Amino acid sequence: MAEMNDRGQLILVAGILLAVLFIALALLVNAAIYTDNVATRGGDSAGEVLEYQAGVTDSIGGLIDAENAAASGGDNFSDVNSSVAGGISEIDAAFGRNNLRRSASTDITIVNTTEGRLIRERNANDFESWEANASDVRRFVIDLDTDNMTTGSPLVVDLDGTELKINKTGGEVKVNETGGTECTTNADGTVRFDVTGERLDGATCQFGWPDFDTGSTVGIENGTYAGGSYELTIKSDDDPAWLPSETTRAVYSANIKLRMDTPDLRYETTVTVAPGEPDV
Amino acid sequence: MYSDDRAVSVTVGYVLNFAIASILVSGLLIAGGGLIERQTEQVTEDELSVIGHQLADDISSADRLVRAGDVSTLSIRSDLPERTAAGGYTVNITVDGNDGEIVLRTNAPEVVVTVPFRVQSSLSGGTLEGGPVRIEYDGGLEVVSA
Repeated sequence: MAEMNDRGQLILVAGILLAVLFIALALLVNAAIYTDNVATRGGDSAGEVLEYQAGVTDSIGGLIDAENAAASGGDNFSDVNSSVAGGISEIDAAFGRNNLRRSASTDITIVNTTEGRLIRERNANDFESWEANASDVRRFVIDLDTDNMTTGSPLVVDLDGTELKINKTGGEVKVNETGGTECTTNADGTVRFDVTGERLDGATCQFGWPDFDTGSTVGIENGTYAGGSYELTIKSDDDPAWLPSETTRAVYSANIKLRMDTPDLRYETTVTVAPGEPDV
Repeated sequence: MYSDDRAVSVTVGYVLNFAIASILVSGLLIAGGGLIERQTEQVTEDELSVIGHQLADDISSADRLVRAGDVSTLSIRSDLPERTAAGGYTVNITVDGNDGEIVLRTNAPEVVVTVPFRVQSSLSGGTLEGGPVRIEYDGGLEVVSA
């Protein structure tokens, strides 16, 4: 009888083929699991950069406002400007250190700054009347002391021809744009009119902010009819001697070049920092 | 007459066993092959879909960054895989106004996945081989192989 050494080959071959099939199936399942894993990973590569950009913009905006507020009447623009430049270097170093921990290299460079004037009156019984050349205006906020407002006689804010009459009548403060919007609120204590934000006492007051350009003016007329505090920053090189006594030279805006490099991203942009500017 | 059919049952039993085993094994292999084929197609479709959405996400990120300021340099690397379960693939980007489509395709098995996206900035279309890509900005966005 012949020796049957080749018995069981069918089972062997079939077993090998089935093993190959199972391995292929395992690889496919692995690929599917990996794909689902990749699909659920956070992939917003712009988020980190925009967060950095917003952080730098906010920080430099706050710095500009703080340095402007800290300037005295005798300071030149270059004094305020160098203070701002020094602060930006420190902001750059702080953001640089923070981002290096996340494998990102960053850099902030000042391209240029724009001269301006910080015009303000604080706790005045009545405001001064004035007019200034301003090719842009930002963060114009008036805190009206309703006890110091003359009933029936409006204070006028002139925004390059757009006149806003602010009047106290019948226990209410009314903001009236000539031939246009009228907003009212209770004349109780201090009423905030955010002129650039177009809000009266927190409520919307859309009078339509005008476009400022070279040759535009801004001013307050009939200042004696209202008191309280106000503050605005204008892009202008007018002599502060012609403006309210607390006016100081200031930095209106700064153009900043930002750079961020990460293993997956290179980004460089120029942003204008002008906190409280209506169109920024 | 003397009939010599003794011990036939052993041979018949062996043949029957052999036949049943063959049918069983063949059935398993055929069913397994079909399963692998279907799963390959399904997994490839999933992979292409995820790759397409990853690329669309990175294009949207680049678009957001371009619109967030006056960009002078922008390059985003998108680490797309070079192969899927079905092997290599191609990426075709087409743009019509603000609407775009990413069409990803493999050959064997032929799987085609389309991922729509929206973009505000100018983006150049084109066809690329699958693998890592970079989204560059030079006046407009462009997707190039990394």
